[in-house]
Amino acid sequence: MLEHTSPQKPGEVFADSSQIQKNPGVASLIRRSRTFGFTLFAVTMIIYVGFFALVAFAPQVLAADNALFGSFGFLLVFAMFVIAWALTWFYLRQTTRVLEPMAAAALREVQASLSKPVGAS
Amino acid sequence: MSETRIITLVVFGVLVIGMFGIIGWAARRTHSASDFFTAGRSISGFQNGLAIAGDFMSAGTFLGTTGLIYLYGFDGTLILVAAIFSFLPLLFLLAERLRNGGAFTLAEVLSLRFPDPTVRAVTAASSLVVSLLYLFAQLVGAGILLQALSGLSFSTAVIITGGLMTVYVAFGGMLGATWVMIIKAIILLFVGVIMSAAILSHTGWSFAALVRDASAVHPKGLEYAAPGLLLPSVHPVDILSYGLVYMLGTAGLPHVLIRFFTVKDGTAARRSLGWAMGAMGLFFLMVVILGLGARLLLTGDAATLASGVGGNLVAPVLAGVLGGGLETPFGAICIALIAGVSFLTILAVVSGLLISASGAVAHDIFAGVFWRGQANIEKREPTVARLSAVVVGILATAASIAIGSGFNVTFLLGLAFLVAASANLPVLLCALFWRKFNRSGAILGLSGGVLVSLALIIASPIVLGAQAYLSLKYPAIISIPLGFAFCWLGSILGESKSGNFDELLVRTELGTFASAKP
Repeated sequence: MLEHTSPQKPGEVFADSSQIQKNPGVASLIRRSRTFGFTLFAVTMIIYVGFFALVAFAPQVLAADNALFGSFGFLLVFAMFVIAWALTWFYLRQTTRVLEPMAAAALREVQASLSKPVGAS
Repeated sequence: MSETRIITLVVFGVLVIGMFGIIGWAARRTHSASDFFTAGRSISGFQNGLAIAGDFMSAGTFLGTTGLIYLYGFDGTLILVAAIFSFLPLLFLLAERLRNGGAFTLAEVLSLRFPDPTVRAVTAASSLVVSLLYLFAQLVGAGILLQALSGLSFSTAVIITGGLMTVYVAFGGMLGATWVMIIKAIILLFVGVIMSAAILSHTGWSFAALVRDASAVHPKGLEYAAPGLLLPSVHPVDILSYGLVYMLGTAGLPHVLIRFFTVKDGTAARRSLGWAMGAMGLFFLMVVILGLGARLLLTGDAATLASGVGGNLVAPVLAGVLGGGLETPFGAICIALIAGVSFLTILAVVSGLLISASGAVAHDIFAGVFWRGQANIEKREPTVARLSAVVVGILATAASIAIGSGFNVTFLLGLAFLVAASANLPVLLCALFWRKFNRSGAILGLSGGVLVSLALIIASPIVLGAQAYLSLKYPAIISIPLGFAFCWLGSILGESKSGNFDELLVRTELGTFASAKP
């Protein structure tokens, strides 16, 4: 159906990319997925740098005794693992529940607009 | 110890021969360049997750970090936190988009945006620098370890490792290397579970008791359970910088990034990271238990033996003690088993590195630059890919022997991570996300990032010791911002064309639904 497209590699999509981008569904998908990714990236960096700042600037805090983990430092190390897992789980859940359906809807829209005969607008 | 060495070599031999079965199977399925570099995109999300985790359940982690925790306690665990967090930026920003790009190598992703031989060559060169530095460090480390574990000489040990790596990759390609990685990851997880259970059974299944008892037998007492023994708190900025280079450096390591090219689509790339985080996290927590357990359980001769080779022998010695003692036959078998598994780990990791390095040579420099625009590249490429693996494999082995066991491996690894964090990552992020980024920005960002990394690490105490110009051992906190600054500077000074940004944007963002196409 898309005879005018050049030979494509796996993963490559459709005809004219600058036009596809203007499709409202596609534009909002791109915006959402980027905002979501960068927000979580920022959260990650804040937590991570915060943890290392604590190790670097307040080591005495981490030396405190802890009943379950032996020291507050080890408690934090375990907490960091749990946070990393939780962020991963949250990202995967949101992409599956929100972004993938959006992508599927945008796909249908783009395909519908592209399968119109050449020349029709 | 000599009997142990013989058993070690037998275990290693059995594992290597077993792996040849996999390589033979993979070789029969490896025909095209896509098969060779990306396993024909046939790896599932779960399998790729284990392979990625396998890259980080390396000898460096299993032997090195266990040793660091044994020696320095809490500070040794920081590298594990850095490693697990390094996968979050990959997940949130890169994995899916890289896969959707549909390339074989990192340089090819950039050339989707800037179809220009110079950009391709510069990116290939910086990928190659990182992979080769990492490969040299691993091979030299392998030589030192094998020497201690098996009694072979340093050169023999490097030649065996390098030779097997070359054969594995030349025949089995990415498919073979990935399956070797998956199998060793499963073996290591299994070993980790058994060893940590054995340790925790000594402390009444209480982690707190493990920390307290281990601290009680460490010369520094309770300081062992707190920061400061490995990374002295007199230089807090250096600690922060240490955290940054290991986290952001991983996100720019080509041999890790190319693993996302081996799955069927972006969704699988994303899911593979979920599996990787699970497997890696589990293993890392077990490494914490192993290190602390070694401190608690190793005494006398075992402790002396474990402290050798920078603490790298802690894990096998610990296995011997858990198996009933170093002098008992079962203890000796345990040591040999762990040593054999460590060999396999090294072999799997260096094989992945060799794929990455030969990808840069065959796919980027030959197919992408020298043969640019020529016909029938696709026919020639698989042969050239295998040939590059052989040539790079032999050269890297020779170079590692020349570098020798006396060389400062920390310098090689430090530089590899620094270049990955300060050159590869900024350019990759700008190319994917910044519309005004252009060709000159890419070239200046990469070359500037590499040069700044090199200059800073040479000026640091890692190379110059006490006479260093810079007090930071880990100069990432300076070089990463400079890397981004070079990208920006090049972009505003150079031509204003943004390359194929729209095309790359649509492809990387929407590739997911190319696979959902009815």
